[in-house]
Amino acid sequence: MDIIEIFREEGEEKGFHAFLRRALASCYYQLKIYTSYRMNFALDLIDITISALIYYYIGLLVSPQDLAKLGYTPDYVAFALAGIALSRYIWTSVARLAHKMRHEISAGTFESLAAVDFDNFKGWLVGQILYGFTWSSTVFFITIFIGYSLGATFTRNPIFWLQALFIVLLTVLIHAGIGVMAAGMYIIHKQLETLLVLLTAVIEFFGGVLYPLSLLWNYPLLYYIAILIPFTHGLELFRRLIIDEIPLNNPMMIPHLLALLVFVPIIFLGFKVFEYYLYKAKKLGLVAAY
Amino acid sequence: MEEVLNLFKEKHEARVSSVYKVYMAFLRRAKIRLNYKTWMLFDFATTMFNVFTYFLLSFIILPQQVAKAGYGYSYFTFAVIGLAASHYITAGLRSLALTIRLEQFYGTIESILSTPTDFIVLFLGDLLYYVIYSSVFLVMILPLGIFLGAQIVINIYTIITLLILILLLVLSNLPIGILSAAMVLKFKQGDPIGWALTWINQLFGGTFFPITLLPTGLRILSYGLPLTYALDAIRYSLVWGASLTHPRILNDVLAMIVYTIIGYPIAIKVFRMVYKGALKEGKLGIY
Repeated sequence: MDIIEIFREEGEEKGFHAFLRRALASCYYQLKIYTSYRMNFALDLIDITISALIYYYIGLLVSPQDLAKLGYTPDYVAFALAGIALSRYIWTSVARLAHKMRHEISAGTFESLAAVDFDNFKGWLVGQILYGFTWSSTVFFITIFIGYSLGATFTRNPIFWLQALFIVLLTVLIHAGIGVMAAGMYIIHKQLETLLVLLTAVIEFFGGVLYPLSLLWNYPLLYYIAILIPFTHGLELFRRLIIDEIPLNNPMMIPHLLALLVFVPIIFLGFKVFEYYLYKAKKLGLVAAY
Repeated sequence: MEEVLNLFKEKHEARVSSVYKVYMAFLRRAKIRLNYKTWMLFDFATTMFNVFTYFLLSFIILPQQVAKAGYGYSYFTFAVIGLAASHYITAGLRSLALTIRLEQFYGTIESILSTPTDFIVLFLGDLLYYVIYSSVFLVMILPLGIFLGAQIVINIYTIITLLILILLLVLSNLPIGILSAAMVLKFKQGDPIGWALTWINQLFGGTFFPITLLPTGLRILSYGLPLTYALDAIRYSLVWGASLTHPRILNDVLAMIVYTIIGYPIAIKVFRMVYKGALKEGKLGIY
């Protein structure tokens, strides 16, 4: 794909096809940048492997009986690695866009990107989300593969994996909606980036990446905060599917699925908020300010 | 022309003491970092979340293995001490590489190092900042841990022991940090060695689980890391109220001193070599 040619086009090509081409070009150039830093990729691999090993050894300390009493399969390695695998999507969905925009703004390239009409800009935005998804999915599958290698009892039934992938996609889309919304706000409120990083930590903590959610029953306030976060429901569904082989139509899963679906409008709202803030920033001349 | 060359050749007497320069380097780093208050708050908040995560996790952990390793019957106490000490690893291992990387990135490394100030002075200033910053975490984590039920013995003996052990922890890890900084200068590839060492330390140093869980072959790697001895001594002292005179702690102290004595001359020599090479090739500021 010739990236330069795509960006050089003078709007002859319109509609969904053109939008898709722009989105793919945006994702492709980002992937090209990432793969040119091979050392970074190697470090990411080491990071994933070491995190998995740390939780494998912590898993040796965990009481399987206690985990079972809380309603989970007594395999902590599977429990923790499923949490870590899904949590890899959080930063890329929620905070990466704002982070990327800071880079573009400080490099002085954001103004040129934003100079195009919003439909074209949306192509860039979606491409960036696609890149984040591609990167996180790579990390996700490597983590799951390491989990299998360490003996984690993940399901081998493709039906459950298909349902789990649907949940992953839904969770990522909802969080990407939050990310797009936040990136829009970032154009004007520059302090937001730090808060977004904090938000990812909050989501990971309350989502129960490393501990069973039912432990929060002893702390009702924390539990109520946890269930207000879409990631909590996504992770609960994901774990039940790939570890316990409980299908999505099981009565135990329905409340979490419904809770997750409630957040779906965020995906559309995210783009609207972004459009609003970009328009406002263009009017105020704040697009390149940082 | 001759006059200008003579001017640059002149050797002025040093009017500023090295201690003052270290202090100024510390102040400079602190001022820069204090500008990013929200980032600091985020750092503290993330650490607090970590403490709470291990607090919750401890409810489903059996303390037998922790007890077998000699650290009492509470996994939460074990993890809290590990978390508190882990920030010093960043100070010892990564602060110098981070300094070089930042100065390269902002294009200031050449101007700073062209002054009559030795890079060691700058390093010490930055290191001092990172040690103090890590101590803030220690001061936050330990009381929070105690509040949540960690069984930590705090008295004058354990505090003095802790301070000495932290100093040794940073000093014994610093040679590796200097080597890592040299690699940043040489290969211009971020700080890969620093990252890799931080992870290796987390896995093999026993930050989150006792190293007795590792298979014998891997445990040898643990014994090759100064962090293993530092964590063992700090945990043993804070859990049992033991002071420096306890044989187990004395052994750990000895191991860290050996690392420091052997590590420094090698690390400094390698760094000077790389530094001079970068100066000669004019590649100091390239990244």
